[in-house]
Amino acid sequence: MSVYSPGVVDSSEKLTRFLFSPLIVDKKGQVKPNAFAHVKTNGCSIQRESLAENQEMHAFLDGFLRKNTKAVWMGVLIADCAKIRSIVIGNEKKRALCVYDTAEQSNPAHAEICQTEHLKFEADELELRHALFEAFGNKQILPPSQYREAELMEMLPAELMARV
Amino acid sequence: MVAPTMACAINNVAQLTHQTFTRQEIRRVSTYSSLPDFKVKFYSAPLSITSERIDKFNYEDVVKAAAFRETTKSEELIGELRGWTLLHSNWDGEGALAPSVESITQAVEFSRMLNDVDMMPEPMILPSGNASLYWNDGQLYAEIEFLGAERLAYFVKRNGDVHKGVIKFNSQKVPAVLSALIWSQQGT
Repeated sequence: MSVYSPGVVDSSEKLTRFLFSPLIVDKKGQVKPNAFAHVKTNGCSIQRESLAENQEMHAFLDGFLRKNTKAVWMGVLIADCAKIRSIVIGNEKKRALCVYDTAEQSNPAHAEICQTEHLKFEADELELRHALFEAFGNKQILPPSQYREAELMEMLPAELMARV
Repeated sequence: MVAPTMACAINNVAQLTHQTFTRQEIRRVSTYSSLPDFKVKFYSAPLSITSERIDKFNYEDVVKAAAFRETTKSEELIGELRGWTLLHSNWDGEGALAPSVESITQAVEFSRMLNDVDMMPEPMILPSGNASLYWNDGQLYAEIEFLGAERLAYFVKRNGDVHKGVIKFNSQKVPAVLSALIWSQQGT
């Protein structure tokens, strides 16, 4: 566990996935399943919705947009941690995902979703993307203007507002 | 300075024809940019050129051909897939790998076979660098990931029934299992 951690992620928590790439959103403005494909590699980065104050979320958002000059804040997806942890794959119905606290000094609410060793076949990864797609609301993105009553969006400086 | 979309198109033409282009030639293409839907049409036009014409390829032929016919859905899909070959690693700001040319090539070859289908997929680029196609219309959810090495993985869920697996890729014919699962039940 990280030294900056506020504690293990509880199954009662809400998890928020920030969407920054137009390549994970389709022409209708709906999310694509590739938004969750990082579970296979370096972990799917999420925020612990109930723990993160606006100031911390703003620091994360501001930092990401400044570091990645082509990033656009498309919105967020929110899921129940319990639902993510309950996803099973394959005939053996083994647990497919773990939710880890990966707190950072400037972002203690940071966490990651990673796939477990029980995914043995390549086609399981496609099924897992589908399961995450459904757990996170099946396409519907919460736009910045509706997330946290637009407070986070309004905290962004003018030069970053153009990338919302 | 050539606009990014134009650069994509020229890059695609260069790959297709194994030619390199001079600045003068690129400027000549740019003069056609006032045509309606020029970028989309020019972008996809080389795909319609037969192998004989590729040997005699010139810009005017491509642009004229593009100007007098509509871009098909398959060509739009292919254009989007090909555009991803210009992406670098970390294209998502989260450490994604650079797109796999082999996987994208497979996806393009597969997409060429979709000209007559009503329900076109959405293309996706994955953090692994692989390309995939997916469908989601409420009753059908399907994804095909192009794994390279002449293999593809599929996951299809239709009305609660789930099918998945890895099969050999065939650039000449849509695998029967996918035809049956994705398209055969349209309208039922």
